[in-house]
Amino acid sequence: MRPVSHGGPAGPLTPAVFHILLALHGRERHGYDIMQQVKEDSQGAVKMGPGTLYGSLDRMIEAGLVVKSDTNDPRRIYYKLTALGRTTVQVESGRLSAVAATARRQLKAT
Amino acid sequence: MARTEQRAPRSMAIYGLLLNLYPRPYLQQHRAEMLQNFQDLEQASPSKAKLWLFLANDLAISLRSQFIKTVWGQTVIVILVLSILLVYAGCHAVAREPIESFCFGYILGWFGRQWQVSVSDRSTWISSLPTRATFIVGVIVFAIAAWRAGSGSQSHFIWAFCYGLLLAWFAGWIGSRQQNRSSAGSGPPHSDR
Repeated sequence: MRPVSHGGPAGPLTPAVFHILLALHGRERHGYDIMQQVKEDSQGAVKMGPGTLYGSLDRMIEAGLVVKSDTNDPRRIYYKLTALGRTTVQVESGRLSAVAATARRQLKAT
Repeated sequence: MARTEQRAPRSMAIYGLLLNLYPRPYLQQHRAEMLQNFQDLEQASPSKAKLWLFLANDLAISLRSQFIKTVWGQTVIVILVLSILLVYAGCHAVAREPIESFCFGYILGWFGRQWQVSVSDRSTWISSLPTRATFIVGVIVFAIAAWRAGSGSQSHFIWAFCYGLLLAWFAGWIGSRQQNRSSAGSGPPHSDR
């Protein structure tokens, strides 16, 4: 994952980080819910276990992309996007769309 | 029926034991969540073998990235690299003594740096007391080495020792600076995958 400054997003992101951001877009989720959503969104291409997930979440919290929600149950901690996280996932989606459009154009041309 | 009920806590206990391989700060934050996740995964998984294969892969990837962050993990890597260097020098008879001096200097520099980090909260601050102390000791060692290396057949061993010592200290200092910078404002440098 490239550095993401607090001033604004700077992709590209790794697939794991992008999918976590995508899973958290619009609603807060706990760890298992994120894992299932990532698996569904990526059609099984990105599978992450608990160790990988929480390692990524820790780094995303450090980067200011994600925060923990207030909860009393330590087994079910909910995570949600920050404003920077929302902007980052939107910018990355735009970048990926542009890449896909370029790829389609080039494939049509050949 | 009773056997099925017993199986879940036993597998959970095994997973709980495996979790002890993670560094303590990571476990303090995530142990309860990970055990809950394991329970959810186990309930949803049709095959126990597939589940354990998936978890073994996850453990291998995440343990590596968590372990590298710890002092012990970094020390193991340093010792491993230096051992390979020594074995290579021993097998190929290439400048064996200077390499041994370099490795000895590097190990001393490495532990000196770790000591400095452990006693100082502001280990990257150049004017902190431990930084000054290690800097002064480094300069004295270097001056003595330079003075003794001026003449004599042992000069290249002493220089190799000093280079190892200084390289280890600067590598640690740059590492700490980057770590501090990343936690202060830039994002996560890498992902596990």
